[in-house]
Amino acid sequence: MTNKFVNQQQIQTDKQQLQQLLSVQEKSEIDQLLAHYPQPGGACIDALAIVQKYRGWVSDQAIAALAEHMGISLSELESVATFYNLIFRRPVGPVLMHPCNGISCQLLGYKKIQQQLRAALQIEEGETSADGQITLISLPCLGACDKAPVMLVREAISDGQPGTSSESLLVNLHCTELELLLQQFKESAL
Amino acid sequence: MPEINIDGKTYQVTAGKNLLQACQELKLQLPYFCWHPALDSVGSCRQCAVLMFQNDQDTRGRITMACMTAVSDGQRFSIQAGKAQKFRQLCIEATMTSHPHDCPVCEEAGECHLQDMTLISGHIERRFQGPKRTHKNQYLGPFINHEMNRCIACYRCVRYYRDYSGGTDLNVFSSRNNVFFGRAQAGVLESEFSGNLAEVCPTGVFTDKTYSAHYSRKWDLQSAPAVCVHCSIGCNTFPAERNGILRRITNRYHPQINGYFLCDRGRFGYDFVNHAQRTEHAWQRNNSSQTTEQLNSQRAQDSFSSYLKNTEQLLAIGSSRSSLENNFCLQSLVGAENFYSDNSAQLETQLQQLLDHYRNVQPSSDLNSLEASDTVLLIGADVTQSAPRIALSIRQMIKNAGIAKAATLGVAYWSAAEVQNIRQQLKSPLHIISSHSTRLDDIARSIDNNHPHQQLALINEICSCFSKDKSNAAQSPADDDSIAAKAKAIYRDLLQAEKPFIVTGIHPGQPVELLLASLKLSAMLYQHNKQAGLICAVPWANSLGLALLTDRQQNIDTVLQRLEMRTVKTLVILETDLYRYCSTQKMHKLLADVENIIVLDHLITATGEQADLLLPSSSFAEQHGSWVNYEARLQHSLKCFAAASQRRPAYQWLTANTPLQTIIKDLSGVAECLRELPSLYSIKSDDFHVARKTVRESGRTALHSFINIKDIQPDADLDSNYQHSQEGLASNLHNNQSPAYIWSPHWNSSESLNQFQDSESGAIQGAHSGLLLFARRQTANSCVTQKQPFDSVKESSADSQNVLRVLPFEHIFADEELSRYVEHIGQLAPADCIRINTAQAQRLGLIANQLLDYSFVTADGSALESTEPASTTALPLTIDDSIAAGVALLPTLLLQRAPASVVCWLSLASAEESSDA
Amino acid sequence: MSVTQAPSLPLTQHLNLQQPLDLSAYRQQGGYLGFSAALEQSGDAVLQIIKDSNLRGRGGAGFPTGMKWSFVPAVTDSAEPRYLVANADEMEPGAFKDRWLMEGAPHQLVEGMLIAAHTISANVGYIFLRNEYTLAARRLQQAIDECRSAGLLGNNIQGSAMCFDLHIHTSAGRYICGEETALINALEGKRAIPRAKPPFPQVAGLWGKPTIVNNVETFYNLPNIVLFGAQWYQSLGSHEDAGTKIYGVSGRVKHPGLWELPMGTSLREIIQQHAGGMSDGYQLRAYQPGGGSTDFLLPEHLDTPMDYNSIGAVGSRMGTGTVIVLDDKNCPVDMILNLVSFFAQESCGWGTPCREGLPSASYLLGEIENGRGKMSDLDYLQDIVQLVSFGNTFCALAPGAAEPLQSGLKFFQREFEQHIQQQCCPYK
Ligand SMILES: Cc1cc2nc3c(=O)[nH]c(=O)nc-3n(C[C@H](O)[C@H](O)[C@H](O)COP(=O)(O)O)c2cc1C
Ligand code: SF4
Ligand code: FES
Repeated sequence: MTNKFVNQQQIQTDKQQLQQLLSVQEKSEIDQLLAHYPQPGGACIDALAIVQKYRGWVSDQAIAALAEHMGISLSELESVATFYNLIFRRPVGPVLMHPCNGISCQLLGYKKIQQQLRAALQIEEGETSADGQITLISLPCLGACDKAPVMLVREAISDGQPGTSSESLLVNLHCTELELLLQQFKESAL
Repeated sequence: MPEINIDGKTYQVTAGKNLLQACQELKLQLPYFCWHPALDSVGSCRQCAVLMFQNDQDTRGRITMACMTAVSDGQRFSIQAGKAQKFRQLCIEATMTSHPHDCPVCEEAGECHLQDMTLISGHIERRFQGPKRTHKNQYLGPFINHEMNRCIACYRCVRYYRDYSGGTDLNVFSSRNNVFFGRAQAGVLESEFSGNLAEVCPTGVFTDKTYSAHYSRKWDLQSAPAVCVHCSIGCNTFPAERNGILRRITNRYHPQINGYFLCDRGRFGYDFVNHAQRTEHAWQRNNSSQTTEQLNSQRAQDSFSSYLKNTEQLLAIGSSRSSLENNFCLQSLVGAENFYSDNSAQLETQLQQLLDHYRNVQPSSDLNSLEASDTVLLIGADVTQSAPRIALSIRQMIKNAGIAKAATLGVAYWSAAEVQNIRQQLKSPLHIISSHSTRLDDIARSIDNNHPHQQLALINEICSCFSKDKSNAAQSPADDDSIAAKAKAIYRDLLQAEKPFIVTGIHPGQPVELLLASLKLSAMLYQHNKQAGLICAVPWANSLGLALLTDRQQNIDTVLQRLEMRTVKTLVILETDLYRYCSTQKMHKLLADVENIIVLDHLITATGEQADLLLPSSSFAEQHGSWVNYEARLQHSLKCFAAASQRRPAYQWLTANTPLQTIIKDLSGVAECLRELPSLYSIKSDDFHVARKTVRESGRTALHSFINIKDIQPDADLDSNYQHSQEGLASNLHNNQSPAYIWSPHWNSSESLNQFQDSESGAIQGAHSGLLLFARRQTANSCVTQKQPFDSVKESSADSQNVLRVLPFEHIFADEELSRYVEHIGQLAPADCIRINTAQAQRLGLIANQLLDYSFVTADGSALESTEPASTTALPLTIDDSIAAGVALLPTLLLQRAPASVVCWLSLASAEESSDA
Repeated sequence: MSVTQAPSLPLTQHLNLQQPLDLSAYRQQGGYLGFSAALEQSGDAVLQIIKDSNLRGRGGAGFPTGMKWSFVPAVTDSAEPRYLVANADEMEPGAFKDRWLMEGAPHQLVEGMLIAAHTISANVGYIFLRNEYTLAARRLQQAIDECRSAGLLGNNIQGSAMCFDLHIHTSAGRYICGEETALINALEGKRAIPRAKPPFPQVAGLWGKPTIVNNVETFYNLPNIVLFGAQWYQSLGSHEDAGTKIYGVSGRVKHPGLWELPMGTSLREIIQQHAGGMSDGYQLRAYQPGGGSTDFLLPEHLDTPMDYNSIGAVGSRMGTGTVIVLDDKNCPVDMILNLVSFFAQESCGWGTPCREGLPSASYLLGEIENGRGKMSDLDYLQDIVQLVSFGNTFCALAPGAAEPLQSGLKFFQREFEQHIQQQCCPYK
């Protein structure tokens, strides 16, 4: 579909439908952001982060709606969204487990930890557990090398209430603790 | 001129340029990918690495990118040094790690910049044994193929598409060695200039899909220096043929016109030449026996002569899409008094006015100077649709403010990314006066979409700023929305600019007054500032050429009148489809009364179907011809391949084979300005011919081997110095003849252009730049003598809300006759509809998508006598709020059928209602 | 209140990781006095102090901070914005010092930025914060909010003509964002592709305006330099360079951690004394003195003082000052593989050597580590080092991978050959 043949009317209704995909809350936060920037494009990354905060990830529809709302082209927004590691363009579970694969953590056992996590969750790196609850994504050096090996665990979904934005927890892992911790998270997620 | 030392030799180089540019001018072989002469330097591919020495004592040197290094006096470099060579080798090896070994099936192969650079860089062995990264390809529409695995991530495509042509739907996604170049979702590329991707991409990621449909290797093609026939800009092209089929069009660099880029209509609109509806034979209708018979050439010629014996009630129509020679021969044959143009009276008036303006007031400017200008006022022309290449130039002009700012920080214009970072949102001013939104809105400083009478008021107001006390006008603040304030703002920008430009256009359905006012404004500006420029697009490829030959009284409106009055017995029509000028039923009726209809055309148009005698003419690709573009630049276009069967250039039918040289001589006597015409045509030499085919042609014999293994005798070209064979001068020799293709040792792709230029952005060696019929010197003492001819464009005097000023909705793929015969172009033409704004629709009680009947009315709303309903089929309504109040847009082709001599007004009615009535 | 006693640990004197000082507590301990002192002087005067102090940027390259600031053009149009950015993107492998500082003493960063803003007449500031640093984000936001209500941020700060507001920008994760020009693109909402220089950001940076980017730790130095002078600051260093530095050690040592020590403290003291030496049963094999993008050094280099020039002289870099220790039970090839893969993964995809060269190197290292290597791979790796080494690439990311790779190939040649000859990793 391009402006070479689609008629104006169709485009307008499509645009309206798209706009409705974003929640009032999302729109108001994004509008606040837009006011801060000389150009709407400047707010790209933050706006994507807002959408992700409420949805856990940024779907094709959500990104199209966001582009429409911000008045920038889809390709520009997508270009930015796909560049950054922490904008998720595929679904993730409400709980993200980020074991650190930085060098200090690797020296102190990251590989084993990651193996155990994979076994416990029965998934591969980058996948989400069968119950849809936990996604495993290793991240580079988390900046806690003195506590290595570490893992960042976060619950990415906020309920939209002020002050309850995503909680995250940096845990210092030794392999024995791992199973306990996983257990704990499985329970809380369910 | 700075002096630099490269590998022990001292060279003088052009100041202000970078080392890569300098090396190209010196014809030193230095590979590159991300640099492009029109896209400049970003330094990402690292392929142009050389060694740079700090001083005379420095023996080690350090690697530096030539494209990112400004030349300055006393520098010392080495291209040959082992360290630099090794680095370039490693770099190309890295570039090639994921590139597939699919050259045998890749359409780029044989003219691939990547192949060339790989060889120049000395990479011969792939050490990398790991898996290659792979991507999925996208459907990008009918013009462009996508084969992402071949990508070497030079970023040229996105830099061209986004930064140069202003497209928004192509981009780079993801990161690291996984970068993907394409659209966010598969779909037709939106840019009107997407075809250039095929030339910009150094390898086979983006290739010409229309070429794929009848692909041939570059070395099997024959080509010629030609001129595009799809609009009035006159871009230079290389059409390329094999075996009687025109296979593709590529860009032929012309520094003042198209530079490196064509529009998609020009590049992909060629397939009409191969159209199934073409005729190769002459046909004659026998009315008594109700049959059509095929004639041999001699009989066709005889028959034609016998039709013309009686010149009483003879009428001939020339063609804006045919060459000057063809039109001239027709005019000479039938006599000036019987020769008519294919323009409406309204168009004809405007074209003559424009010629007068060029002659007496101010010559036209070229696109290169438009790109160098610093303020543009664009009036009433949707140039992206009507003369697309202009829009591309305006997009470059916008950048000049940023380039100037960068210069103050010591950053050279060719540091593309740095200039962009400094520029940010800073733009040279573009003001648009129009009736509806256009594709340049995104870069405009002001957009005034208004009814033509308000447009005119605004232009007149700007004119009056020039005549008023200047300082006063320039100072008072523009703080309100009044016409005076808008005019002042525009006036101020025009006044402050070093090189202000007025850009406008002549097109069907446009109010004459607007053009006159624009020309007047341009004249005032020019009087004030001799650097000021004027660009005025005209409808078709040879509109101005035809206007040079005709008188403004003899136009298509008078043709129709005479047909209606039944005073035409014999009608000769040159390459024109009369059905574009009125409704089908009416034209059927009018032609039914004409005794002898003779049509010369290369396509069987609706008009051709009515012919009593149809003579097959050859297309632009099969004939030599001259064309006068919008700036009154006379250009010579060369025959690419010999016409098949009975096809021959119209001028041959019309003169019964008078030699071309004679025609040219006669033609040059028609007007003072045409005197130099013969110089355009290269002298035929017995010694040195220029080859149309490359010496590397592989299979001349094999092509017909299933019939005969003997070589087929190539056609002789009696009219030019070019051979239809590989015999003759190699195209890269400097010989005052434009090469028929671009190809030179080491450089197999279109990038080999740099081997044909004396300097970067210089013309192709040997290529004629065309003749400017009204050169600057002739009009240097111009003055504004013109009295203001019109004060206003009529407003509707009717009380009825239902009298709307109708203006054309132009479209790059819908309006032009020849390209419309091309399937893919037709596909992309929008569906016909009527466009008005919401308020207008509400007032008329109409809703979007409703089917409407429309009729042309007079300004007071009364119906026109003797015209049946204009619409044969009802059209849906489209709401577009950018359209000014009181204005309706109708597709150009439908508007062109408005009854003659009526200023166009439209009345709308729901289709159901009218069918009730 | 006034402080007369110069601190011996000027960077960490206020550090409290459990409960960082709020505005009033920070002020009680002498916070914002440095800023007040700066505000009483002209920007030029403060600039002179910073120049005299010989403070070198703590972001890795050690560029003299005063000199960097002096490139900012004089204010010609007071309406034109100028930007100040704290680079808090800390993603360098093995670096963890900035998080520590920000979590423990958020106000000191704000104060440092205020001083810099006053000096270069910046009116908007950003803390470009790594996404994962959520605790630091919360604490910094609190500090900023406190300052805003106390009139330390905003218009007419403390009754002066100075206007400066400060925002936190949370990154979306990408190592290249730490490179200052890529960081600027990221702040503009674009793909974080580095820019070519010139023009330098000081002249045309964020949104094309003058912009200064400094590392977090650099800002922590400022309050006390202004308060106690250049000479005092110079005297803190134990060797050539001035001031104190946050040094850290990770890997198999007894007490991994971070310490503020005089500039020029020897590696031996840092690793053996402060980090407690190797964990029991492990030997020191080699170490990267300044984070993942620095050349390996060997035990024989332990007596080198950790300052910019001395470390440079033995063939590595000060970098972030955070030492990564390789013990004798971890495979050096695997360590290099980890590092090179990281850099390959984090390449932005702009320059060819980096985008294509690093994944090839990472692939070859993987093959070697997994017992599928060939001797010729070592030459190929050497070539890639040449391809991506400093000066040859578009930015300094790929050279960061070249350093451990080239020094690794040199120091661990035997291990590489063992892998290839035995067709397996001898450490597994
Ligand atoms: C790939 C790359 C990553 C970098 N990451 C950081 C970083 O995370 N934090 C930082 O302060 N500097 C980083 N730098 C250095 C910055 O580009 C810049 O030099 C520094 O922020 C300047 O601060 P300083 O002058 O205070 O040292 C990085 C450089 C490169 C090339
Ligand atoms: S698609 Fe072609 S032009 Fe675009 S980055 Fe790849 S190789 Fe370059
Ligand atoms: S052409 Fe110079 S770096 Fe690409």
